[in-house]
Amino acid sequence: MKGKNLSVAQLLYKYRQLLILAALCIFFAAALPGMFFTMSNFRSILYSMSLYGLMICGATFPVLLGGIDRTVGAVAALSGAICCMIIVNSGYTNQGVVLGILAGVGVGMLSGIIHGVIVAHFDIPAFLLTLATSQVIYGLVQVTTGKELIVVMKPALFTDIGAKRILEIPVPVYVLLICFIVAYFLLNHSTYGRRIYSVGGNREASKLSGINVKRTTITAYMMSGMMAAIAGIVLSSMNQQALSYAADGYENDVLAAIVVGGVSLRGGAGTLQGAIFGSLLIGMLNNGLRLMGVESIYHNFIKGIIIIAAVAADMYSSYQMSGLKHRGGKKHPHKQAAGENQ
Amino acid sequence: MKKIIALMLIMLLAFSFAACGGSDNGGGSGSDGSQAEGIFRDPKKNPYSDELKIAWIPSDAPAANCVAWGAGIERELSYWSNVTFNTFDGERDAEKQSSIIQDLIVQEYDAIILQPYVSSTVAVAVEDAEAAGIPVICINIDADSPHSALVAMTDYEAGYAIGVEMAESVGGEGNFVVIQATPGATRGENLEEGFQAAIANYPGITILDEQTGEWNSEKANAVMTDFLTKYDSIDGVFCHNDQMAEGAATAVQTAGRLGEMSIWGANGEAKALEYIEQGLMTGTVYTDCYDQGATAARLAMMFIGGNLDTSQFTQTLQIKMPPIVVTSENVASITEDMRW
Repeated sequence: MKGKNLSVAQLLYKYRQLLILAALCIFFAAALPGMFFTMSNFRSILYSMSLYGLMICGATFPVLLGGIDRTVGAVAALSGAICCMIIVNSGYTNQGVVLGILAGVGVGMLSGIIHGVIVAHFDIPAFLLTLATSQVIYGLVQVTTGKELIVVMKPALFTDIGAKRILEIPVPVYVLLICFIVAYFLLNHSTYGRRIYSVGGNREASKLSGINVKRTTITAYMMSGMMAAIAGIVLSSMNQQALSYAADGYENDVLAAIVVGGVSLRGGAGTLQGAIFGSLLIGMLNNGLRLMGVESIYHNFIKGIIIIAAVAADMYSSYQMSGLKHRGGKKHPHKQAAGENQ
Repeated sequence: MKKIIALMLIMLLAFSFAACGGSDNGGGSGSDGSQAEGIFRDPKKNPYSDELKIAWIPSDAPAANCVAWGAGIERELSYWSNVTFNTFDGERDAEKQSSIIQDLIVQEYDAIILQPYVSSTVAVAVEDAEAAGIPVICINIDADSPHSALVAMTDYEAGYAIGVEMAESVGGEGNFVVIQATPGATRGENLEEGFQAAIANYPGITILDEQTGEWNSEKANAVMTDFLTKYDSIDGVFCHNDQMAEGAATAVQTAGRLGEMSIWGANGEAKALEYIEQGLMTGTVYTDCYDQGATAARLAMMFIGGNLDTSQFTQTLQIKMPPIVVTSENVASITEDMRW
């Protein structure tokens, strides 16, 4: 009997984030009958969280290493600006769009590589480095754009990225899905992913066991830069323009979602799906509060309270599970699951 | 003898001053007279020949309207080779704007043209600049302390005009939603007040919902998407600026409901005018920002060369730019050189 109860508890623990989302869904569905729990509404939630989701797919990598990337907003602005400028200079051609996207993504990757190299080789705290370089990058965007708005309202190949729907699903959601699958596969089903967790968990031990820590770090920041750049291109397509301060402040929301999703800022613990859960939670709250007609001035307050409650529930369940491990002498649910798989 | 004559002259002068002072205090127009005397001073410089330094402090230099204001100021001042013109970006930080003003006081600038990010935060710095003899001309948003002048877009009137246009377009009956500015923004509040005053004349109009888009295109897009989910019938959407109207228009277009409602913004930036031409937006209220910037520059020159002590002003002088309601019918009248 005791064992049966334990497995239910373990099950609840394992799916705690989904349960929190489900609880929130049930609340909003009850409060907004026929409005919240619809396909079109979930489509709009996914659409509005797609930019944050894209950045999260990359920014989770350095956080899992115990680092941080606060340049995601700035890199998005830079890549969007470069992409738009190339499109304008090409005379709004499809070739210009392809070239612009490649250049934008390339700039993002380059930015990530530079950050990774500095973090890996010079041991500068990532927080300080990326805090400073985000200013440098925003400055670079201002120089690049001449502090002017770059409007790109054609060709369709570009504007469709942000606005078109395929099978009733907005294109940015597909872009997010593809990026999520790539990042998920890298983190969970590749040697590189295991190295990330290993370095994040214990840098010295990883080094001694032969892992190239520097290369792992550089690649993690490169992923972050690349995903931020993709988000920037999607953003500039959504708005049909590049602004020198585009995505300003996004890094705070991205990091908040990652932390809410249970990824440890010390590194080595947490999952990409958890981070995406954090983003979904925030997106769902925004959507639910708006649909309920709650005045904008109360949104931040209510969101803050609910996020604290969600994190507290998550932490409490983790604490309870560790207690169960000691009292019952059972394995930790994660370890047990791993053992079962073997 | 000479000493006695000198003493008599001094006494005569002293008596004359005392008599003048007495008549000011005792006369019926005493208070007006002292104020008039207090606000005059000797002009410090000739603005058209002496070396001058004039600063422009926008709240957010890259924003389209700030770029246009800056271009208008520069265009006007470039006629005068004696004027040095510098731009200092406030970077959407009122504290930073205040510290820039304090630096400019130390550097003895001759005039400051300012677009405050937060009216109250810059008030002390503006007061200090005026006390130091530097006229401060605000653009669009006023500082909370009295100063030389304000050159503003119309906001209440623009909101009112949009309200009337939207209500008339649906025959006085319909459902509207509003995407608001960041809560607390003065321009947003004034636009809203004007809009609501106009709508109050049409009892058949219902405001279904109001949410903030924080001046931001993609946030307005998300808000509009939620409005479209929530309401089956929306006849009009009013956004407190063009950026948000563009975001809302994209959301409406994506949802395939473009023909169902009118979409209005405010400011009249070039991209919004293009959206109107393409049928994505219904209208906006256009302001000639180049002219607005140039007007501020002319006022700065006037105050530098004038004999008014603007630090004694108890009220800020104000110029309002004319609002031009733009729809598909007259958008072509806003020519390329007027677009910003």
